[in-house]
Amino acid sequence: MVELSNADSKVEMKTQIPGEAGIWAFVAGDLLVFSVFFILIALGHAEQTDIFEASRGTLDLRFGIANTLLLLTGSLFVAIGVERCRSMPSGKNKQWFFLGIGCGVGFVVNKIFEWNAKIEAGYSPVTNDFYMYFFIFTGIHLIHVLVGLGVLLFLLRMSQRSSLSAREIQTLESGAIFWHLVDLLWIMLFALLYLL
Amino acid sequence: MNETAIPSSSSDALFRKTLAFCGYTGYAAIVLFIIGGVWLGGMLPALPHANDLPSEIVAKVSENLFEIRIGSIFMIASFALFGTFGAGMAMQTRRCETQPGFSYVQLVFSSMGTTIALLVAFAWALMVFRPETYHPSILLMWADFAYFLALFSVPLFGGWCVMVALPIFLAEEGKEPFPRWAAYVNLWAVLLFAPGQMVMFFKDGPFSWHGVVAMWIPFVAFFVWIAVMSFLMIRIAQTEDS
Amino acid sequence: MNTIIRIQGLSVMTWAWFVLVGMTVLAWWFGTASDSPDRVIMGVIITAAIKIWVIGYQFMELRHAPSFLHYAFVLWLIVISTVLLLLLGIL
Repeated sequence: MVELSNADSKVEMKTQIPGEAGIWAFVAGDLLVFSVFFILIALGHAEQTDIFEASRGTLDLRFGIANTLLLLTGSLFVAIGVERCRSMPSGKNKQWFFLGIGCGVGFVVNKIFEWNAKIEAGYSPVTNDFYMYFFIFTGIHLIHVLVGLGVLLFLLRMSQRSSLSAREIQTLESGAIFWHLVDLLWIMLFALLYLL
Repeated sequence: MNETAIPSSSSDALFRKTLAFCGYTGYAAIVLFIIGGVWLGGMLPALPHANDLPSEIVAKVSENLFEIRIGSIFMIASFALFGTFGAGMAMQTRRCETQPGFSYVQLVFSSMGTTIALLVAFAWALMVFRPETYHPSILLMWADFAYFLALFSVPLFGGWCVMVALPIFLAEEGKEPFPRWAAYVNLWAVLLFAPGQMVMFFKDGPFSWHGVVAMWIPFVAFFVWIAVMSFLMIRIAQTEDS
Repeated sequence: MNTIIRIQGLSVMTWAWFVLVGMTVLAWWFGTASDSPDRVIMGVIITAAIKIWVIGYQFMELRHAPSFLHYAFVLWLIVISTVLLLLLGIL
């Protein structure tokens, strides 16, 4: 019986939209907006190459790398958590979301230290266009992280149920997709701001 | 295809007509804004810029005096229709509630939003009322005022969207006033309005009130939001008709 | 008895994570090791694009999604990467 239901869910999963259809409308909208941000950074880089490269040199790459690894690892935990909830719901699954939240909190703390160090060193959004983009785009991204942490808290509560309805699974997937979106957007921001 | 199950007792022909009417006024608001704000009025793209000198604003405004005046009339007509559009959404939300809740909150937000939007058109019209008499810096202030009303009001318009999203999310399965994906569209709109608040800190570049991020994105998102919600109201009215 | 696919004892998700971390290190190396600015830009944008695809395909589970969704995602990724490379003076 268990085998059968799992086989069924496998077949179903092949053609199913992950999460709710609506979350993808949200993802598409957010990707388009961040595309505008990415293009603005690239335009700035092309027009003021010297300023952008000099300013990029003043960033501490270690903060950026650490934050990238934190988000990637957080995404892994959340992805595993969703898989576990789907295949064997139990109270233990909440640990994966707990670990994911830990990574997210680490990101926020790291970001605060990084910004603090930059502001103490005399850099602010009005320093030049690079720093304007740096503070505002990573700030908008930070808002996404904070919203994502709220979503993960909600998922954590849901994940400990011993049986999950199809709709609850969908909600878990939708929340996780938002968290991965936060990760995905950071990857490109990190590349454009820290590595170019 | 009917994603919203409404008890048949609360579904009558007059209501469906009213709902469709409110949806069409949403479309009308978009068309009127395109005529008044985009084509004639110079609001989008912004004819004045946040970093213009007062004398530059006077020059730009005086050259296009007639168009902007006619544009302002179209704009105020467009913004007034936010009222009917918002009432339509609240009506639909109300049907799915046993006791009115979110529908009331929506009405508060939509009436405040309509008022603030109307003031945008007032400020725009006053900017072209007597530019030869006003001190040049006053014209700049009217332009600032118009864009601040429209863009700095994030919690108001964002709050409105959240009040549309919440009753959809919290509804029992199958009893949502609008399809669930519409709730995500509403939340997406909130996120796009948010950069509007940066107009406070910048007078040039993408975050100023003539810029891509602080002005274009919130404006476009707002009218896309109206288009989506109007489409849904009309579709709900039509599916229940058949 | 579950739907988690394992390769060499590790789940596909964990493998995806290793790839992502590896790519991050690779992109870092591109940024510091290469002396040709064009090659740096090329390497950084392309590694970022591949990482984004891995996140979409594995973590966001586009591998189970209807193909139009996956194609739309890949199309966006190709368009934005191309536009960025064009703006940055490569291509």
